[in-house]
Amino acid sequence: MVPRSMDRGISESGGGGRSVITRRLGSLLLLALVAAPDVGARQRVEPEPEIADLTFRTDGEDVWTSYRLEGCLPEEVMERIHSGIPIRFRHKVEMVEKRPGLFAADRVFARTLIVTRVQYDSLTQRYQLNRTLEVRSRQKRAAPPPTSDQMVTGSIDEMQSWMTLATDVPLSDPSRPFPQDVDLHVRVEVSLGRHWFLLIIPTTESITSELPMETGP
Amino acid sequence: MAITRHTVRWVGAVVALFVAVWALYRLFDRLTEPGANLELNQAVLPALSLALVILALALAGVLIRHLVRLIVERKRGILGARLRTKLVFFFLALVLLPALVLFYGSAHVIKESVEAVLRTPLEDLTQRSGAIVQEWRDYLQTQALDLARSVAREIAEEPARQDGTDASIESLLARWALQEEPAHIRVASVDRIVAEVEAPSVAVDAAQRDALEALFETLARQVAESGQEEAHIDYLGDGLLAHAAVPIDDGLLGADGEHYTVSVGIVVPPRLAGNLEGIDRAARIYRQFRVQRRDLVRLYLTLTGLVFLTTLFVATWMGFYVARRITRPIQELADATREIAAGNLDVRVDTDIGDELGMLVEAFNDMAAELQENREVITRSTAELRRSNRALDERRRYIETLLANLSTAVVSLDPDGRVTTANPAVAGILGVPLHVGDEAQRQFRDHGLYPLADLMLRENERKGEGIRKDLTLDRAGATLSVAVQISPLRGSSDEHLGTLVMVEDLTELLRAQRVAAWREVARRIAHEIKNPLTPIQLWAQRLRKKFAEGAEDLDQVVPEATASIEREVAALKQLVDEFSLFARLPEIKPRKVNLREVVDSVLALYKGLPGIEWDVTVGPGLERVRLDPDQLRRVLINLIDNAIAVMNRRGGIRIVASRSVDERTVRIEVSDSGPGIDPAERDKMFSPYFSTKKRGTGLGLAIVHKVVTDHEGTIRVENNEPTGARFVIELPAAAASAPTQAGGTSDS
Repeated sequence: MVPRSMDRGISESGGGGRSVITRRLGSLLLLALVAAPDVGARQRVEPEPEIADLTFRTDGEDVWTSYRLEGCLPEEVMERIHSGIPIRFRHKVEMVEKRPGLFAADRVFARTLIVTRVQYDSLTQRYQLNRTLEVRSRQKRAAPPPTSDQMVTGSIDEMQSWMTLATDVPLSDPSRPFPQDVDLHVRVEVSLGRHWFLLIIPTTESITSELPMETGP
Repeated sequence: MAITRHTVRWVGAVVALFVAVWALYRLFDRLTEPGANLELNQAVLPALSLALVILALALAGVLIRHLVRLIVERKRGILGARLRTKLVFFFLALVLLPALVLFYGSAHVIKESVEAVLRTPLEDLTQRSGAIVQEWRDYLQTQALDLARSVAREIAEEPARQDGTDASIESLLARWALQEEPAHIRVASVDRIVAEVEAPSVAVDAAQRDALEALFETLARQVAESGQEEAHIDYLGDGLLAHAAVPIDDGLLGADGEHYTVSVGIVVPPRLAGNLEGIDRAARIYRQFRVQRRDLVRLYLTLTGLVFLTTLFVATWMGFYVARRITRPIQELADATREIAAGNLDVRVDTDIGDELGMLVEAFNDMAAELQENREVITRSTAELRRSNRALDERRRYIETLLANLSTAVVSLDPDGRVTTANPAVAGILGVPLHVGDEAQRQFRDHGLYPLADLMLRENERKGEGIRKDLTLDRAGATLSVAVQISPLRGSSDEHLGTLVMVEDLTELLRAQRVAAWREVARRIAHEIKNPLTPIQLWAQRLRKKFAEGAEDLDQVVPEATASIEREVAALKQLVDEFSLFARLPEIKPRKVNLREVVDSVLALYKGLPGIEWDVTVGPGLERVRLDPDQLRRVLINLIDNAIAVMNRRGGIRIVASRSVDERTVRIEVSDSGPGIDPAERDKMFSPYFSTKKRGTGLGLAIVHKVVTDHEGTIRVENNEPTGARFVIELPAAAASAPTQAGGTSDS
């Protein structure tokens, strides 16, 4: 609805000739913007998603990382899951050397990609869970083949654990030795889904966490 | 009419537009159809949004670019910039408002429509149907679970358990299978199936059986591991299976010590399964719609926005296209016009448009081609003209060189009497430094050359065919004898271009001629005087001798001697008288006379002279001729006397007097039938004391020449046909008797 005050404001605007037309056109545009459909969802107050308990352990040159996601399955996402819409989380786990400078790209020594997926079957009331893990390597031949796990469960807890827990994620590049004398960090970036910027520009909602690797292998 | 590239473009654009509209329609249709692929929509939505953003940016970029360009072009005053601006904004304004209203209305309707779905009974219907499915699911699971429990309990209570044989359990299962629902009952450990029975009514195909085996195995293992009973609904191929697994109590351990599980699977009747699946699918679609409704609205709005921006983009593009289509030929014409103005006639304007602008361009190209052709003609003509100019220049230099080295003074004047050329001889002869642009007559007067200036003035006033006259000029106290030739300069159309004055210095020539003439005069006078002196001397000596001898015939000799001496003295006296006459020849006194009367009065003197045949003709228009009749009589008498003398008083004399065709000249011819004149003597004939006669004084033709020239006329001698000589006298019809001014006329 057009606010009455605005309507009054338009009618009260004076001036002649071109200025009146210009002002009315401007008012019409403003009216269109104000009265445009509210396509943006009214956000409920939900805990912000984050990566928690990011840890790592090493054994020789092998590194494993563990973490969990918090606030990534809010009510809205659960509603989407229970409506049968598949939900994916994409994890990018990296061992990097951070470089100073605004535009300096960090040096990546190892990278592992994980995709977890859930799709709910309302008829059987079971969650179909999938997880693929791909260890990236600088030399593609040296990289181990991607692994894939799947599970069907009716337990919501199992589903949430499947989607939010990452335990002992391998993080090493078999084609290169473990870097020495480098200030390493473990960085985890999880893409949770699509986010809309200015209502129409699609972006990816992601969370990131880093942990310095103070101890070497 | 030939299909132009422009037409092809338009057809292509229209086809592309239709294809785009059709594709958009199909896209809408696919995205909004019931049971649409939500994942596909999820992928399409970002793509559409990105397309929308890119289109918006492109539109903004195009608008800004063209706007800046238009501003720059307007500032530079480039032709067509204003028109382009107007057209672009006209198209934009034409489309913007309706498109904006349409977009706003569509967005509102879409949002309200989507939200309205949630307010319909569909939400309640979906929930209730979901509850029904849930109840059915629970019912089926309970059935399976109850059966499994019953079987497990009976197995535990049956004596067969005591021996633990598979046969006893199998018979037990067969009985339950026949009593209850069409079920599949199995008793198995983790790695061994003890007994398995299937009701006859269970109809499963091979694929379903494999699936059933897998489900039984999975659930039994799960129950064995957990020790808890489980009941599930799972898919069995195209159908549904309600299955449950119950562990047999600890006390029912077999002899091998394994845990046994009773699994029961009830195949849901296909019709019921289909209905349950259908209801669940519909409810799922609704739930997905509900949770994705904002995305759906966004999708619709994005598509609407895409159409909106496409419309704006097309409108803007159309504006630019139409404007460019109109202004580009104009711009190209203007550029080409500047090129042509700069001299580049090779320029042409390419066009593939067939409207009035195309006709204008073609007309321009034709004009340029014609100009180019004309310039080529002009170039060729110019080259020829240059060649002619070079030739003329060479000729001019040749003439200038000729004039510069000419001993005759040559001055050319324009119609106003101003000097156009004057060769160095002008200053050399006349002592007048003439320059181009000088007024020649004034310069001549300023330097005391009055006769020359007067002659030029007279000739200028007379506008005749030219004049030649000998003048005596006073140049810085020295007498200068010159022959002046004044000729009019006429163009190819006989127009008056000016005057050419040529002055030849005759001073030295005349002086030499005069000296020679006086020598001849002296020789002749001496001769003429000597001739009578000899007889006088002889008669004087004879008288002295007779007187000294006292000769008897003295009386006879004295009279004879004195008579001879007197005769010779008389001849001497005549000689002196004629010389005196020539020396004292009076000035002419012209008056209007009848030429016939003058001729007749001369002929009267020769009346009765035997041996002479006369032929006299006096033409008309000679009754009032201005001349001196006495002097003219003297001229005619001298010429007739000479003719009679050379013919030895026997022959014909012809006298013809006439007026010229232009009536400016009176012509008098006197011809005879004598022996004619030796060509070598013609030049000397009018000199004083030149005579071919033994007893002539040689002054007759000199007197004739002087009288004629005093009348400003000319006299020449020619051969007469068939024999003899002919003297031709030409006198101006209106001969002025004006006395000669300083220097007077020549006596040459």
